[in-house]
Amino acid sequence: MTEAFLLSFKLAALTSLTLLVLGVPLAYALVFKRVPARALVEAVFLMPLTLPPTVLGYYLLILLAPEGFLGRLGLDWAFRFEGIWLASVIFSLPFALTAYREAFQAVEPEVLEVSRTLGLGTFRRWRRVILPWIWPGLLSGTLLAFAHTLGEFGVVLMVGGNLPGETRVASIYIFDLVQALEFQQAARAALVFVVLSFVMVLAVRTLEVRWRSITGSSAR
Amino acid sequence: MRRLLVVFLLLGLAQAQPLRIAAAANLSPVLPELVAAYEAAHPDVQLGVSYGASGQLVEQIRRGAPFQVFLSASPDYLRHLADAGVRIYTETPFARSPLVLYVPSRLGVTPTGFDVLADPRVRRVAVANPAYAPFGKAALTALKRAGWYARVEDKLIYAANVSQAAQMTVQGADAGFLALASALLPALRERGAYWQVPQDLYPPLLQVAAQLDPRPEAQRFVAFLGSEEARAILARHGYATP
Repeated sequence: MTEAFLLSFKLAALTSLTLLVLGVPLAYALVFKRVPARALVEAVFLMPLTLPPTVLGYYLLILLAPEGFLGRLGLDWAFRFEGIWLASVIFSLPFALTAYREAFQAVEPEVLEVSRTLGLGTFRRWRRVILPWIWPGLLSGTLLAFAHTLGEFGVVLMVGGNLPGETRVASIYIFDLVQALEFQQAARAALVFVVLSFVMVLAVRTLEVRWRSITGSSAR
Repeated sequence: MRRLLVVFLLLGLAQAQPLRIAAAANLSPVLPELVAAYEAAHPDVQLGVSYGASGQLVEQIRRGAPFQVFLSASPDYLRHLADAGVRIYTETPFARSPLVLYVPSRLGVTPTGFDVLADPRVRRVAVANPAYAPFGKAALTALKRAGWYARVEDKLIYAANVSQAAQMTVQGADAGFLALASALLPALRERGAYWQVPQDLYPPLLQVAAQLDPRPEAQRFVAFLGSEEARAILARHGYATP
């Protein structure tokens, strides 16, 4: 059980860090820059919200197999940890991106304008003005991505198979236990999940409330 | 966060690569015991087992899943692998599994033949998906040869593999086609009864170990499955051994 949960945490941590690195610039661009065909771009990034995990898993398997397009470029990641990491990044992108975008949308353009006319450099503008404003949003988006990755099942099973220590994350481990009729062990692992989910969702909510009180937004 | 990453990296390095085994799901009641016996005799080796229907595992291996040994519930699926260009170094049949029809005791009937399936209390019959699971294929073949298929067809519910069929039977189905090893598990033995499907009604469910990696570690495990010790464990779980 420890092995499976450690693997889940490793996957969730790497996925949410990757999304932080990719998602923040993306969200910034979507809010403040002129993006051609913005609706189309956003639709592509938000699409994993509605795609069944089997569809995403199917395409990834085709691409990552040794004879697949990415597989031939050296990314033969099917049934490997790298494969489920890539799948998780794509699958959780909408959650992180939506939270990051909301965070940037709360930054008032006038404030940015004033800080620029006052001659603050890019670095100091980010550190003094933007980051204090957006960090709760960044944190809650990252936590959401983390939690969503922990809860993944279908796409990880399809792309990763079920390799102990490599791709058998906690959710698949529970699936295995139920099939093997190990109901007691399954119940224990499931309870761990319930507690974890509750704590994380509570943390996200608390951050949101705190963030809204900082930005003075009226939404709850 | 950086410290956390370092911890993860170290964890990754500390884990030795196990010998990876793809195993037909019907073996899930017996393989943990075989693995424990093997690891006790070879303390330097660690085995990692993944279960699935033979057809699903073939699909994974074909797409590059890193298994060194494949335990198939049917020699036919090894042909599929070979046709797909996967190299099989050695191939060893090591056991044969009886197919049983299991009925939970809450139904109040003891199965003595297919006629239990005509009982109105039996509404859902779990069976592994015949499209990729040898036990499902065997069950359907037997039903057809015995002339029962048309009367039972509407009651069949398909499981992803034969151990999921066992799970479904425990958790709600009224009957199920299972491997004898599943029916002998305490969770099932105490809560129902089984009838062995006559062996002339379906092609034998021959368990074959295929060595997919040239290294001697893989070959040694395959050889162990034919040993006296392994055969005794298999027999205790209801398997016939050569």
